[in-house]
Amino acid sequence: MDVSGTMSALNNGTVDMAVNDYSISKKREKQFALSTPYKFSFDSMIVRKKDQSGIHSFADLKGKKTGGEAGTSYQRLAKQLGATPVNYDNVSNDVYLKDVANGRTDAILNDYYLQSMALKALPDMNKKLMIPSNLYFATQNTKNGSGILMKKSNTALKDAVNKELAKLLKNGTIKKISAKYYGGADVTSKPKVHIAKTFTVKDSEQ
Amino acid sequence: MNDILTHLSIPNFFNAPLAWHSLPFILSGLPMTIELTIVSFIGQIILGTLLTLGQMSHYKWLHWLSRTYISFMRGTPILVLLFLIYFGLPYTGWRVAAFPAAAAAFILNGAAYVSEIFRSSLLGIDEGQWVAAQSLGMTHFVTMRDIILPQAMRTSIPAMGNVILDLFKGTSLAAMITVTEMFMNAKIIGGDNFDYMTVYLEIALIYWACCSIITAGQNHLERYVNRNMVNQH
Repeated sequence: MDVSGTMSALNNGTVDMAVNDYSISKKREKQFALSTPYKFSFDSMIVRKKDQSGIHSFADLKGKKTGGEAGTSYQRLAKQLGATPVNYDNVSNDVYLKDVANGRTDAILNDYYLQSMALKALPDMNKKLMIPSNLYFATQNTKNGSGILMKKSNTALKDAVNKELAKLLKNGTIKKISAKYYGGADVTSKPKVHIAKTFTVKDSEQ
Repeated sequence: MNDILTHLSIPNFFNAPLAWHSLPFILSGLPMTIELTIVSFIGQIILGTLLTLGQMSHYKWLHWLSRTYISFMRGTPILVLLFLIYFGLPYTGWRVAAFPAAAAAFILNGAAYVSEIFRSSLLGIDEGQWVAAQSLGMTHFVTMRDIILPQAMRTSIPAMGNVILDLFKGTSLAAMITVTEMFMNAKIIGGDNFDYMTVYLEIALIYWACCSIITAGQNHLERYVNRNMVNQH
């Protein structure tokens, strides 16, 4: 199910946990229970290779079209920076990437590891697209890491999950999984790349 | 104001203050919804008419072509058609923008249903009308224009009302191909606030309100068209 179904399903008990790179933030913690972080990451953008979509700095995002899912903080950030968000429904990576390649959108803002994995999985997209390394960024919640989402009242599950996560972190299981799926990187510790800018993503008009 | 709203809330289910404050943003998608509905409805009627004529044609190939088209369009989900036009056509080098793609999908798909409605209305006209017209020396064209079609239009209004309501609500599917209509805006609010239930309930009420207005229009039209009928319902 997509994000809208997942959150409703958590609240009414259909599912007990949701795992989808949910960043830990005070706002989320008001409505859901979050585990301790299992992944630390940073954000980047995907642009066309030949001209970097005309984006050489964050200011260049103004007037550009960014592809993404409706309601994400990435699209909110894009709007804040003056870009025009183009919102897709629950479509797959190849759809997003093809639209950047053919010019319908100019950039995609998202988690770095997700983006590099997506490009690796789609070699002919990898030929046409790139992730500029001078434009890594973070939001005010990025340093908190990603956690597992649970129903707010389910404190017993939260404690059990946290205990298990601590165990897996200690014995290196998560590190091994990270190396396998994230191209050798270790996402259990804070990233050591140069973060060009940290943004504060404002809440939308309520 | 916020006190009243808080009282209207159902905890963990419906957040009335959020619904109220997000109303302007959600309604900002309404013009797009209306525009898409109107453009698609007109297109459906035009294409539907052509399909009906094709179905009734004496040329076997035209008849067969229309029937096949109708069978395909009535038999496939419109979501697939939306996806194919917007994301599939670029493979052939032909890139369509979101709004035209959505309109094209709704027109191509809906015309099949409209054609069947027109055909059933025409079938409902008494055989005697045709015979009488012929005996008066009217040509096929004049018969259709002055005798048959006015009567057929009357009986097709309720079914066409169904079509336009279906279309109006169906525009929410266009959010899947990035059209910024009402449903898309609701999803944005839902994602921002981690609460989709509230906005989905809210948008259901908005669609209901709009559809009630459309239905009132349909009733008006029916009363006008039936104004000279002896037995009015």
